[in-house]
Amino acid sequence: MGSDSGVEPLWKLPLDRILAKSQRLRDRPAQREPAGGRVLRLAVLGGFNTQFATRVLEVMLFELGLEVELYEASYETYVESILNPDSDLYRFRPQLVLLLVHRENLMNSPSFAESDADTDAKARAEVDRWAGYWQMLRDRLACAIIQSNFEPPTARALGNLEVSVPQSELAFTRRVNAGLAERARGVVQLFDVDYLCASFGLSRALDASRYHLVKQPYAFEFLPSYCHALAALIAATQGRAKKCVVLDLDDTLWGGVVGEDGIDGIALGPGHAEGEAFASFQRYLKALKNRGVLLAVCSKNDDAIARDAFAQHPSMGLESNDIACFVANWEDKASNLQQIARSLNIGLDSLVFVDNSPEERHLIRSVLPDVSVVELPEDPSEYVRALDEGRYFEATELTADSIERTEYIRADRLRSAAESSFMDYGSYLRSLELTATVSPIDARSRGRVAELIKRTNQFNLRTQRYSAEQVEDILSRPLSVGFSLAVADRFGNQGTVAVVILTRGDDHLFVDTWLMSCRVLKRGVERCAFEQIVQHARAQGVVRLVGEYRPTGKNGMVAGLFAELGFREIDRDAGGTTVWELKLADAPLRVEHYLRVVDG
Amino acid sequence: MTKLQDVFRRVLNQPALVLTRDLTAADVKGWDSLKHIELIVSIESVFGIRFKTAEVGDLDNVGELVDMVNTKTASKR
Repeated sequence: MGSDSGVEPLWKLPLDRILAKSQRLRDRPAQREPAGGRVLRLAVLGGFNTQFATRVLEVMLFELGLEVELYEASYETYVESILNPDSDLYRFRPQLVLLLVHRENLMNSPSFAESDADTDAKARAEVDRWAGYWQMLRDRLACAIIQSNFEPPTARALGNLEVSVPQSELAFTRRVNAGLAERARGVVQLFDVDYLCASFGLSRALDASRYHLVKQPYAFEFLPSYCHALAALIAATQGRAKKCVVLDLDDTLWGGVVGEDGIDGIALGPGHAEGEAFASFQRYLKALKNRGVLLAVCSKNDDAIARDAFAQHPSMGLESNDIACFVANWEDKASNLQQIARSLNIGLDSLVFVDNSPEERHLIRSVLPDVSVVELPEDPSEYVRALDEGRYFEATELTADSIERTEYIRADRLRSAAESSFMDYGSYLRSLELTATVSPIDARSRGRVAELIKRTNQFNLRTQRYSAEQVEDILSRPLSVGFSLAVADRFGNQGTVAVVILTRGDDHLFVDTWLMSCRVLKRGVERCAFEQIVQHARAQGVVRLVGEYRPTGKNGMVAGLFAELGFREIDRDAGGTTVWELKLADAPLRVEHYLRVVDG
Repeated sequence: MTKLQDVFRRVLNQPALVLTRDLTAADVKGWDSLKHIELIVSIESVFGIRFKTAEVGDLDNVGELVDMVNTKTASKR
């Protein structure tokens, strides 16, 4: 489908154009197997009439490569559909539930006459009410949940006093939002409608007339932004967030052309309005890097001159260590982007391309349609907003591993350099002094495990996108096993890189989830994980191990994994899914790998 | 009228639809209450006008809608 002009992002189109796309999408003949993977079963529970939002959302998700099967509750009955265990909602068995609410859905509004303590109790009761719905949904569905928070009121009966008097609507809404935020961590994803309204302009985002007409509180002009932000969050829960920003240098990270103007001649830093703008863009990029987004450079420049600018310029906010992959040459950028994706071991669809040149952007759009291209405004003061409002890097969790990501990638570089100096691969692996720490999945590690489950596309046998809560549910079943592997070597710590979840059948253990970060490919980590799997199977005394491979278009590298490990194929369906078994009697006693295993 | 007809054709996804003044929602397949709002939103954006809350529900046929659009676009000038 794609955006009409190719340049204007979908969410900037007028609503009627998006709705026309939605019509075409719905009129399309039913697809048996979607191109990009499986269909997501999505339930929309709205405290307002969500019919317009849902249609816009569907278009946005389709654009992000996500096909959904929808269940939509009416705003009159959305609470009942949660409370009643026999409701259509539970029959639908959604994988993801959206709880979209607005301020009219607050039930415990305070009054000016009551005491602070009573108001406080009401705020807590309100938060408890929503947390109660989450619990109920999770008990019955093992689904992931996205809950919106509440927009502030547009009108203030108490004027500026609303901010400090707890009984006011504004203070009460803020308190409830804060309470929801506290309770949501690690339980549900919050969709920050409060922020979105502020960023769009509250009085423009809400439309009383439309609310009175069709029970939709948001202005139709705001719906595309609302749905774009929501779609980005949903995509992140499905492992579709972007992973890397690829940056041009001249007139993108600084003003001017360093090869011509020299390091002293480029605009960057204080003393110059445009220089300030570029410095502020670099600060934003640094913040992205610090939370785990990879930065890459792709510039038409002399390599030495480009690197020199990073090393020498006093106002350079980014250091060369912040850049996971630095490419400055005179090749075409499409080839360079492919090389960057390869060297970082991520897909082209994980890249966001930031370049001030319309020609380069056009090239990438035409040659590499999977790459997201930011339509960078001409004014560098607008760069931060342009990149941020693309909502490319939504995350469901901030973990220690994500913060260290760039560091891991840099250590990889050193390893590659070391690798080339060895004649045979075994002695290279031995020289790395690899250690694997095997830990059961517990409350502490669940966040990182869920993040890996969401992010891992290539070494992933079944690509089941479980949330932390779903992992917890699976591991609460009798005789199920879940462990993760953290790997370290003499170049550094690589953090948790592999996850295995085994569930118990009558005479076998089933490999429900087996995935590994591609960073540690070809270091024997998968063989080490296999050894652990076999040990668990032996400990439980089962006869067989059963595994399944489900092709997704991205995980071809593990199509042959079970065969390599000695499994026998016992079933195959039309979609290419294969089922494998290994009799424990035939399983090896020791698996060769080069890791020292310690218990975590 | 042609401009309005284009909006109707696009929103209702009926490329051959012909608008007449006495046409009502009941006469057109798919013109339900939600499509009605979608029509209103599209007409507002195409003509750069805004309907009042009461006006949206009070329309009996296409003729009334045409008159209202004309009045509103005229008062804009």
